[in-house]
Amino acid sequence: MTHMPERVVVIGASVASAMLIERSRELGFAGEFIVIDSDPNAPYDRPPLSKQFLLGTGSVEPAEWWPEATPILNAKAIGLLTDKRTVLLDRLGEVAADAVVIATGAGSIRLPNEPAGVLSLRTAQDALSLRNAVDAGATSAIIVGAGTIGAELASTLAQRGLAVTVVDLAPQPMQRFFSGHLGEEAKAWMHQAGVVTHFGVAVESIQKTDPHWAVRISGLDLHADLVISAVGARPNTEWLTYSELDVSNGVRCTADGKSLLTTGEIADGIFAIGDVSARQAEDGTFRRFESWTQAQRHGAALAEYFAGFESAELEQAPYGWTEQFGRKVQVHGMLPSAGELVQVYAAEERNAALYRIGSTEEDVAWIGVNAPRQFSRASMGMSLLS
Amino acid sequence: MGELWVDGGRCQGHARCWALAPETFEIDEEGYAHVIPGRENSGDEPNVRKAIRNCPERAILERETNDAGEKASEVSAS
Repeated sequence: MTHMPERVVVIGASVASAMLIERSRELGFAGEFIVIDSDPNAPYDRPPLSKQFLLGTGSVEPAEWWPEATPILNAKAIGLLTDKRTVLLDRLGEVAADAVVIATGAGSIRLPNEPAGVLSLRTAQDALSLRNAVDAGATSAIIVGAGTIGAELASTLAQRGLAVTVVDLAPQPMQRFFSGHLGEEAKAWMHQAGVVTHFGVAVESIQKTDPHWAVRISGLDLHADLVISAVGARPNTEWLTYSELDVSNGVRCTADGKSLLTTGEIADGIFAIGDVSARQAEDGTFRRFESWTQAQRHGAALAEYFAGFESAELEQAPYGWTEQFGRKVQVHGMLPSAGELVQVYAAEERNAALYRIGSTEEDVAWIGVNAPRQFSRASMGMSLLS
Repeated sequence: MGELWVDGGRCQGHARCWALAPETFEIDEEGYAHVIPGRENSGDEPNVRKAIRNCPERAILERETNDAGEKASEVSAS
């Protein structure tokens, strides 16, 4: 049976909502999508912001993947009347629909007591501010947080000639992305590029000591022209505070994206896709994925639900990637933190390697470094030969 | 459905298309993809649709062809 709504309001012009719209049209959806986003630059590609954009001189281009003939209203959603499926906007009034799709993504976590002037990277405007600071002659930067964004920024800024220092409370770079694996390898990439690292240390204070910044860690003062906070993201759910939806860490949803009320019941006609949604896993816990690929699948799966057929989109193993320090890193599957990685392929002359963890079809996961061919074959369960 | 092609300006070498539909896509050593000659019209096949949807860069496109078979405007695959 189909659940095809006639009028859908989507909050957030994201990669998840683009896929929802495109897949819906492919499946014969003839109704109306109303898309609202508070970011005047939306829609744009986020992955290049920490990489190509900072190296270049151009402006942030509109995303080429945004579905044709789908206008975006520039307004901020400030509330949701859940039982009326009505979104309240800061301007342009309110919008009622048969279905509301929440795709507001996540925003940068700010450090406690973070002084004004500390940079971060999430939006096109953030990236522009950072690039302007580098173009204005900054020669050094301290990056607080060595997740994928922090590590990519370290790579790009080092490439631009800045003296870069990375600080993280975690014991290694990209602790979460790698589930605690490949720490020594990733530190070595950074050090080879001249990046100074401090892992396992807390930031005690950040102060502007004109014209520089001072960041204190373990009694040691680090100095630089720029400080960039890259300590992670939290779901953009402030606007849902009075909605009666369960937003304890993201919008809590069933595995297929139906939003839940604080009572635990399904909120009729309210869905969440992408980074903002916390999906219920088989073990009953709710998990948020900050993943481009997962966001695409959420969008496609919801379109298939609307069209009334069983979606297999969400049965695919997670896929994530990062590019930094001349390395294209790809991860397939859920990396367990326990267990040892086994290196199954290496080509040192191009810094290439393929690692496996786990052994059965259900629990195997792969990490590829500069090895897209071997990685892809392996992740499809094919032999590495040829 | 139109003629399939991979936009080299968008492709970042994830090689997902080759993993999902090796009968239509081929990749070079760095993972950059192209459509195997003769397979430009396989856009309706389920594996190829899946590859299009799974491309993180949305780099797999289709050229609309009109009745005369001439290439018309380019549209995003959908």
